Amino acid sequence: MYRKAIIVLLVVLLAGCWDERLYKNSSVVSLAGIEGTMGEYKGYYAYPKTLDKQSQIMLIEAEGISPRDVRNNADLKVEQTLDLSELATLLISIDTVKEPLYDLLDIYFRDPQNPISIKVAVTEGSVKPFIELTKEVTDNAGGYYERFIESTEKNTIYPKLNLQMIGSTLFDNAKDIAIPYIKMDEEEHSAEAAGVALFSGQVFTGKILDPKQSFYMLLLMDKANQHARIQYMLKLNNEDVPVTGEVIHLKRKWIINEEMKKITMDFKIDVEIEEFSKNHLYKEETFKTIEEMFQQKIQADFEEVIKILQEQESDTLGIGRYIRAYHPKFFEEDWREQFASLTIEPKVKVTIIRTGILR
Amino acid sequence: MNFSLSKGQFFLLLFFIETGIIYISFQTPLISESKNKAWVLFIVATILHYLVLLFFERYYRYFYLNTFFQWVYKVYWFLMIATFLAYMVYVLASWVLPQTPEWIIILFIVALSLYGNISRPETVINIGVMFIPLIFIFIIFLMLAVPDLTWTNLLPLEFNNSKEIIQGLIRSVFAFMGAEMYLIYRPFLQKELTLNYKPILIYQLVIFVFYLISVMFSQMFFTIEEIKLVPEPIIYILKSQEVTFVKRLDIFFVYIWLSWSIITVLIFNLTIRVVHFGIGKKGSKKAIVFYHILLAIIPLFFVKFKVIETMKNSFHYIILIFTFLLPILIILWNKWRGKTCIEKQ
Repeated sequence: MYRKAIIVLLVVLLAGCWDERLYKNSSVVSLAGIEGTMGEYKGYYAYPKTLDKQSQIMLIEAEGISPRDVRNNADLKVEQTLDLSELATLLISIDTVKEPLYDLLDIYFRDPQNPISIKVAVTEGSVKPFIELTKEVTDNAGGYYERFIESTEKNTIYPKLNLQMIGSTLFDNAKDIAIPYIKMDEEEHSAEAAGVALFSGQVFTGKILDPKQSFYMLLLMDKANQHARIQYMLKLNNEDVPVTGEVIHLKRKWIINEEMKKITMDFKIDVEIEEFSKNHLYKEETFKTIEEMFQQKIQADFEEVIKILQEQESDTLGIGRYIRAYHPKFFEEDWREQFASLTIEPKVKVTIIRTGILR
Repeated sequence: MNFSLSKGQFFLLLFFIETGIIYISFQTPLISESKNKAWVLFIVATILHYLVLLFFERYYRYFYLNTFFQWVYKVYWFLMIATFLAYMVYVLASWVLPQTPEWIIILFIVALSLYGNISRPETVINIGVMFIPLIFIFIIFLMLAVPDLTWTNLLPLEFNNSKEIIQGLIRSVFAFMGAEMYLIYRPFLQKELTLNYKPILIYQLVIFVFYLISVMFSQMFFTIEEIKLVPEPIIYILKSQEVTFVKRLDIFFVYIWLSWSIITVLIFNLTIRVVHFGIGKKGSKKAIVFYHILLAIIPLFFVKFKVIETMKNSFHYIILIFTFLLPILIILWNKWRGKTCIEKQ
């Protein structure tokens, strides 16, 4: 009996010896970047290394015909094999996403050791300066961009997105993605959230929504995050007054008119006033004026964003998914073309429900 | 072979037989073939399964296997286990242990099965109890994916394509693989216990909810084009979840699934033992050891992508024959002849 138990135990313990991977034997990459086009890719991998008892970020550069080839070639330049199991962020150059995005991402989905809950961002120009930047500001390169993207998500500028969500949307012909776009502030020498890159299917449309447009796109998507601040310069009594409101609740209702190929989007937005230096919100007239002005401005911004999305045939709002589910006869296989030809009319109703701790 | 089962033990055996091994993979062909209506077709298949179980309960006495059909089923179960072992090794190699030699993993599983099968039958019958809490843990982990689900993926429901409907129903049946063992173990239920529609309905509801969660989650998490690329959607969903206490949730679940599937293998082997040695007879250990040596060798020839794909694309038809059609035919034939398995005892 004991012999049998020992044999079983040994077999159990043996399974695993072959697949042991120790971090001390690997260069653990937390930030990766890729640029170039099919056949001529260039990749960058940032990993921490302790030199003179100080942690430093090392950067490895390699070229290759495919993303996997780039990684293999990068492996030739390090004393320890690159390990991407702790990858936090993937940066892709804006020129690279003009080709089908899945070509770059396949290796991340196919290899079980690669995490798929990582952040992805598109960079203005080469990714190299963005990766080099981390050497000066942090000891965790991938963590820096991960925090950067997450904080921008909380401010409702970037959509809440990870690699898996991007991959999933790439296979959906009824929805498109908008990926965080980062540019370099040359003066400050720092990364800056510069909006989102619009995709139509697998490829970048060439259009970037600036942070304000991106914010309204997220409101249209009903994806207001922790902070969603609406800010306008309103003309009150012939005076320019900055007013800021925080979106507290947003209700969205789509009404589809199949015959007229028209979609009416009703939005009811409840806001809390966060900034209004002229006060007097207790006066009914001022209160109503601000509500109405907010309403008009938001509606205009919504219309502007919808127009851009239709021009770019980029249905980031997921209207296609809704129509496919609830109006299947109206849904056409070439959805993007149909989306561009629809009449989409947003109607906004703003209600100020709070004014902070001042009246 | 002499043992008796309580109701709980009986349904626990059935649960492990029906859910082990294929729980992680049957969703992909089902959704790929029947598109958005997969979940509705699965509900229909579940109702059919319940009706079959009621039929089995009513006529199980007539499920008498002559020597020919005993060998038919023994060969069928053996080949099923061999291919399932190959599949388990393939999944482990793809997800967790790419470098570990395949024979080591097969040896490990077969060694456990050998231990279970040279012991008293109660060892195999009761071992599943330990894994019930793990199944609840798994469901809790799966719930972490709820915010990532797209509810509109469940619609539209269009029933104008008969090919999709038939294929969907056949692929749904895959979930109830091994239901024929109801007939094998039913005579072992303690004599004073009776089964009517109610306990069977409760069992059916449990297994239905457990499976339906997996079908709906897979459908809502992946688009139809995407799921065609993902052979094990449930593990993939868990891989995409981030938790603080473990880096890869998928590995954690792969091991839960492995343990759970090993129990299924043990029960399949027990069934062969029961049919081979018959009720009330003590089996020869030599035969069991010889059988396990075969079981350790044959799967090694099947651990290949093409074989696994062929298995996935054809097994639902085989299961349809051996799990539902053949038992019903045998029962009807014996009923006509008036021959019962109770008489055999």
